Amino acid sequence: MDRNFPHRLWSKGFVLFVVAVAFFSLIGWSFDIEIFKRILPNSVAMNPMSAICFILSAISFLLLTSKKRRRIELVAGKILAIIVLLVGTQVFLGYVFGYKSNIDKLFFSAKLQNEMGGHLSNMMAPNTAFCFILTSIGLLLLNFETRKKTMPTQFLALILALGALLAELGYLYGLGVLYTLPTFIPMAFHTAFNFFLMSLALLFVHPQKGLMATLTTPNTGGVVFRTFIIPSVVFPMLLGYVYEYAMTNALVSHSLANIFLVYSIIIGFIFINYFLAQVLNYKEALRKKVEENLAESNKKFKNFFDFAPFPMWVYDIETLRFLEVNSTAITKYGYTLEEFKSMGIGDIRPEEDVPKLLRSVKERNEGNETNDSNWRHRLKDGKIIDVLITTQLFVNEGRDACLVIAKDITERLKAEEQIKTLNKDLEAFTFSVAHDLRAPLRIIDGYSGVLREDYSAALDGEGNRLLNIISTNAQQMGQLIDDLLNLSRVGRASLNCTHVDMLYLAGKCVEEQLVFDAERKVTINMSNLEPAYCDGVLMKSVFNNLISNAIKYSHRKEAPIIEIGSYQKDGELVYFVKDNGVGFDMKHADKLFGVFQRLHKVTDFKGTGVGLAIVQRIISKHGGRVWVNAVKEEGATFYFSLPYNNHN
Amino acid sequence: MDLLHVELILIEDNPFEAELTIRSLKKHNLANKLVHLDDGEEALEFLFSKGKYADNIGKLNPKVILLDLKLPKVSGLEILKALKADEHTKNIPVVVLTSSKEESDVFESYNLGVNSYIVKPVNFESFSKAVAEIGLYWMLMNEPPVI
Repeated sequence: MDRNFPHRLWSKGFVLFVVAVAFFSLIGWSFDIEIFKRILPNSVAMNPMSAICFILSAISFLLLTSKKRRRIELVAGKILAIIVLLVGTQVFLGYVFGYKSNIDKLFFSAKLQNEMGGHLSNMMAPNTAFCFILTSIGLLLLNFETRKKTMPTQFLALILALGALLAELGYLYGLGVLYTLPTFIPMAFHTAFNFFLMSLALLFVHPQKGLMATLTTPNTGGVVFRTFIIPSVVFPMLLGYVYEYAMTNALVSHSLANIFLVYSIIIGFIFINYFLAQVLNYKEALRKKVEENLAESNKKFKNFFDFAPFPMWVYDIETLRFLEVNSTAITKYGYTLEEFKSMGIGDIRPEEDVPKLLRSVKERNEGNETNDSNWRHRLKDGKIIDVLITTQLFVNEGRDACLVIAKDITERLKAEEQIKTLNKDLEAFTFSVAHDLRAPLRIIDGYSGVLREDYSAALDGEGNRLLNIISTNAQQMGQLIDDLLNLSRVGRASLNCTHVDMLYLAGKCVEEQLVFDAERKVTINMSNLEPAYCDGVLMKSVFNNLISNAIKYSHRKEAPIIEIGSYQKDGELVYFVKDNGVGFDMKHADKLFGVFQRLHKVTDFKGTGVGLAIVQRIISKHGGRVWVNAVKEEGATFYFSLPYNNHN
Repeated sequence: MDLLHVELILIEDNPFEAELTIRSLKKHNLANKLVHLDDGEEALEFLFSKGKYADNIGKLNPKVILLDLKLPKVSGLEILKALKADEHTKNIPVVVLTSSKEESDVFESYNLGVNSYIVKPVNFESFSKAVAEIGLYWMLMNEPPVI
């Protein structure tokens, strides 16, 4: 329910009161109850036709303000208002042109003949007729609002209220002329009162519109008006009454009474003026304070904006023009604030980027979220910089606008590019070094071989042993270089992902690795492996490494068992290779995946210590993790995970 | 040696590698009709009868060329390209015998029409075995086209 609810309810209350007064008046006419007919003894009664008109007006009002706004209600309401208008006009024109309409004697005509001892035939007074005309027009225009937002009904109601007030003042001071025009009968006391209520009802129908808006507002003006309206009416009334009383009873001289009257009015006005001054001063001081606070807070936030470490601006979504630009942007880009404001966001870009920009803006406006993005901007001196743009849409002064933070990433991109080149160079260097090292190794091993073949007899046992050591180490180094080359190849390789049947892949690896299980004593248990979206070639290398490790480290057990399986957990696919081999102490686990890191002596288990590093590199390339769980002498379980995504 | 009887041409710049290769071939009696060239440019002159090898013209008919990729002046891939582009030499079987496992080298070699691509093992035993097998296969088992 909106806040004008109580006022609307007042309207209904006023109208119901009008109906009640009119109804009692008709009862009075029917059963000759004088008090109902005329409230004040020896004054005029309410004409029965007036009472009926009041009831018709009230019903019309209730119909026209019905919340359901049904068409039939509106039409009926207007018809009733038109009937009242016709009656009022008929009577009023009768007075103007001097004929007797007699429409006001339609009911209770016999009783009306006897009214006031026959001196004054009780007709509807001309001012009453005029007031009904005002009321009915007011009803017909009830919801009409002009283009200038004024409501004609309210003006009519105001005239009605002032007219009714004038009539009531007449009764207050017992002065005939005010409630009757010379030679005509006066308006009845409760008729005037009814018109007053009627005018209030018409005024309070739209308390937030037209004239009423000024009075009902919660602003100071409304508060002051509401405070003073009753005293403003009652105080002069009382003064007038005292004056009248003093004059009538000749208590003081005419001049003295006048002096007191004027004196009181002056005091009253001064009091009101003083009070108004106080209110206005207080309000203005308050407003100034608020304005100061606001200015200060504005300045503070403007500073936050201006001195933000990144260039920032706001642009209009539709025109793409700059609305606000911070100092950092002005310093960075070299344009003045005025230059910025005369440009659009397309003007600070290389021309070839503009179509892409327009596309991007269009997409964003169509609701496709755009995140941080890289763009190129042109500074005033023509220099092009790379920027990371972060944006936020908001409503600025009633229009859609976009706040932009631009972060210069030119240097960063350059550095990234350099790192990429350096990495590439380094890998090329590693590769070529490793590659070139193989030739001399082959020669060392080759000539050792030749020596062994051709001169074995010339060497004694120790000589042959030393020769073997040279040969073995050359081969060992050859293996190391091969592994290193593999590792570097994995590092350089780009992922070529497909849907891989991991069970099939692991099965192939097991087959290949079991060649090394000469005694055929290893049991391999393979449960159902989840398929994955990954690089099959690299994944095969992972399984090969893990399975060959498992065979290698469990082979000395009586009954080696290797278990290969997988499960899903927390959005990841986890695969594991478990053995019951020699295991290791978990405190060394962190060293396990480094290059050349070994937990066992070469004499115990052969190997270069690169295999797990390769596994680690492949899995992290896939966005997964590698970890291990082991107990010394009881076995080890190697796990790796792959992110579970749409492809999987 | 009479060039008409050259059956195997070894193009290898490292003298020790060459010696080990030749030794392995010799063991199987495959090195009797072998010519060793240790420079890319010289190899080109020899194969295409240029410069000091102008007399070679029309005399060469080897059963196989063993080609290293890393050579001074002219690389093995360039030699391969020249061989396979020339009407007279394109049918001579060429076996690349190299340390390089680089995928681009393998790919490029096959692209140019190499007949076989062998990566030399570091291990001497494997190396000897590989060289011997290459020799046996290309010199004895394979039937070359008559040029």
